[in-house]
Amino acid sequence: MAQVKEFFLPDDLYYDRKEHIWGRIEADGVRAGLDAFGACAAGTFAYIKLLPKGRQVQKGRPFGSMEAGKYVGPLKAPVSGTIVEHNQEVLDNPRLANTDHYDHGWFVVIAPSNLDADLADLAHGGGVLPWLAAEVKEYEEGGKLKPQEERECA
Amino acid sequence: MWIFHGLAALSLLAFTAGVAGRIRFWLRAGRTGAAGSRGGVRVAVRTSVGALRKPRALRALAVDGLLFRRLWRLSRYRWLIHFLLAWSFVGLFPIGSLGDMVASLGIPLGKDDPWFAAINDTLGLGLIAGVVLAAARRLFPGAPRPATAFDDGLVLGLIGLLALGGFVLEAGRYLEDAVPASTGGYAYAGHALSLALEPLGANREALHEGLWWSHALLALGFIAYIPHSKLFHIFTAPATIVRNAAPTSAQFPAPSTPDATPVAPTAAVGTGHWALRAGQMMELDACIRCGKCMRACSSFQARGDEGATLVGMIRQRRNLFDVTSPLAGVLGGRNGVSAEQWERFQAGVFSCTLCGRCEQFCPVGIKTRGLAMALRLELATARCMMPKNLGVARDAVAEEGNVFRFPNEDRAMWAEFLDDIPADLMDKDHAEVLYFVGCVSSFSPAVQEIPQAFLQVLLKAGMDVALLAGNERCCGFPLIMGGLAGDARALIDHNMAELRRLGAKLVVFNCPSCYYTWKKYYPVEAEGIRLAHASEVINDLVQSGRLVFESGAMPVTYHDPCDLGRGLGVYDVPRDVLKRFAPADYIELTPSREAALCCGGGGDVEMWDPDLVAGVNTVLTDAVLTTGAGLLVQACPQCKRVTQRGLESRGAGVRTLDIAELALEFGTFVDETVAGGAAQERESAWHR
Repeated sequence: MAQVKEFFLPDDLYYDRKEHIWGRIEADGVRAGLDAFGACAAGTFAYIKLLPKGRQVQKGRPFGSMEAGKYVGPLKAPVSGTIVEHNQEVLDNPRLANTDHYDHGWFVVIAPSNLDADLADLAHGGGVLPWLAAEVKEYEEGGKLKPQEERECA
Repeated sequence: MWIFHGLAALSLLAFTAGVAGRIRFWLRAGRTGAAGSRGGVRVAVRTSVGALRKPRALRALAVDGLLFRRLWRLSRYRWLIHFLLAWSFVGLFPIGSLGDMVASLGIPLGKDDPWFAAINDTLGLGLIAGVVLAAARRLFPGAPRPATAFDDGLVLGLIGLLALGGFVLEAGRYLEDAVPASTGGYAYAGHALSLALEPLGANREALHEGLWWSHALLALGFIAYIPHSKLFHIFTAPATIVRNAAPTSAQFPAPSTPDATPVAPTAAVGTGHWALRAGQMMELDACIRCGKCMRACSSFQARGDEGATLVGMIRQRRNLFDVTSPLAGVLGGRNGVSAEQWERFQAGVFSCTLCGRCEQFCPVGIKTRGLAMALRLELATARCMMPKNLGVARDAVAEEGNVFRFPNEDRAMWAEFLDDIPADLMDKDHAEVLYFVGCVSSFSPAVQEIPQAFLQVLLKAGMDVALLAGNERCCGFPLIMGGLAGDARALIDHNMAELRRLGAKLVVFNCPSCYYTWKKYYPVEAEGIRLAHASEVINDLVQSGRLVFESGAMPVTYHDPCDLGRGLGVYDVPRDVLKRFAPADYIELTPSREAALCCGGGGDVEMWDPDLVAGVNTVLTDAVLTTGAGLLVQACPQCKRVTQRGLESRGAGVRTLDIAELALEFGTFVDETVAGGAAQERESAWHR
């Protein structure tokens, strides 16, 4: 588990360094969600839309979109493949993405089509902590993230 | 007497110098980066003089400028105060200053003529009554009003002293001349005062002379003060009413090119750029600080910041820029401008949602939205003063073609949720109709059902429609509203080029802001291209019988979007649809139409102050909940986005639907041949 300040990122997951989307390799595909840091930076989730099951997505291309207190934007796939599962729970209650990042707050499961190559540039294992530390520092110094004592992130 | 004439000449000189100062101030007007201030004044003069030839402007001058009809509609109490002050003053001025001159010309008219004396005293009492009522209103305000400035008190005090002094002077004259009651009795107030003063036994000649000089000096000082104070609205308010009464082709300032080098915020006057036009500079002088705009402002209701209201912006703008009136500078304490003042001014200007509601409440008819936009243009473009996130949005538009920095190539992702759409929808070489979706509809997951619904309506109606998808760019609206109109030019050129490539002759919108921008800023009229909002398209289908609603409607209300209603005057069309949908259950929202409440989502404010947006929206949702309607229909994705979130946060069980969603969910499409093919004919009714 990598931790910087209040942000916990399990180091067994794979992380898109720019989008803060995590991927967990499971039997039926790659489960994807937003990490604790990304959820905090985005603000409170209000709306989420996910492409229908069966749609092909490319790594780095949207599999859905989200609207939160401070952000409206795409949710980008960490790997290429086919969307095989939706999290109806998070569609009904988008705040789960803020409060339960790695369990009930996931978005989709993608059946990967090019997994090994797609995982190559994702942060994983020992690479997670330095990347996260750099991200926190950059966001705090750039004013994109409030100081820790003022933050209200789950 | 030569001393008096000398002083009178000095007073007139100060008056003339003040007027010249104000005109010099207006002469500084000009478009950003352009040196054409004289051109700007020429345009303003031409507009005003041209307006006078129009019956509508003359009527406005008579009923609004002279009889204060707008004030009458807004508040009878304020109308009475203003009527008493204005017309008593207008009546007394010739009586006091010309009365003796008239008699000296041999005209048989004197101050002691019965009817003359009676009118004189009645007007004087009217003036005092006006002052007392105005002072009472300031001392015991029933509603929020702008902070009283020194100038406000001084003007009232001067008028009151002049009126009281006039009576005392009249009493002194009666005492000196021993005017009998049979003559002086008509001047009932002055004569009664003379009887009260009679026991004092002072030197009556000296008393009268002293009173005369006191009154004369006060009057001369008053005249000199007029152009340096809010009293100047005596001239600028009627001029503004006339100028703004005549319909103009462009309600908002035209885009400008930011080709000028930005200047430092605290740069001296004269080195800055003036985004305001001459007529708008005059509007700054026409504001009477009545505070009607403040009470109409949802942003003020939500935050209580006077700086976000027009009266606050005008006050600060004048304090920052107006150095042409040294007298006002001394009296008003305008002794230098600090960076903090600039920052306060910026914060206020960028807390306005630009809904334009206050325009309906301004008694002198100031085009408030245009003025607020010009102030933003001046700050953002000419002085590089803007909220940080506006700069971020500008950069996002430049890099991605949308303010969300969403990958523009994924602009039509909302359409991927639909089945059975034509495969070539986004790849057509030619189409009759272009559906310009807009950024909010394209990217916000909160409202993407709106474009999905409207596209299906268009397809069901059998239209040959195309989407630009990744080739569509922001229409420019957020930049124009943010004061960065020059940055919108490239977007306008791009979207027009795409339209020309497609060859469409009709562009349809579900977003009123895009519609507004295209209508006002895109060169479509010259190219014979028609524009239509979704509500107009849907109403056409409804009225021609192509779209029919199932019975069993529910209580429904409608909220007018600012850019569709106040911006483009489309009020009846959506209501016509709703009255077909719910003939017996339509509930008019109060207030509505021209006075409709802002949803909070305008003016780009959400980019830097979402809490203020939520506060403004609460005012609207309060009104919605009051209706008891179970369904709120809107015709704007941004309104729906903000309002549905507001209603949800309040736990209100009111459903929000866009008019396109309403049509798709509750409407049934009838084959064109069955409906008689009238839809095609009705297209001519769409806005050209």
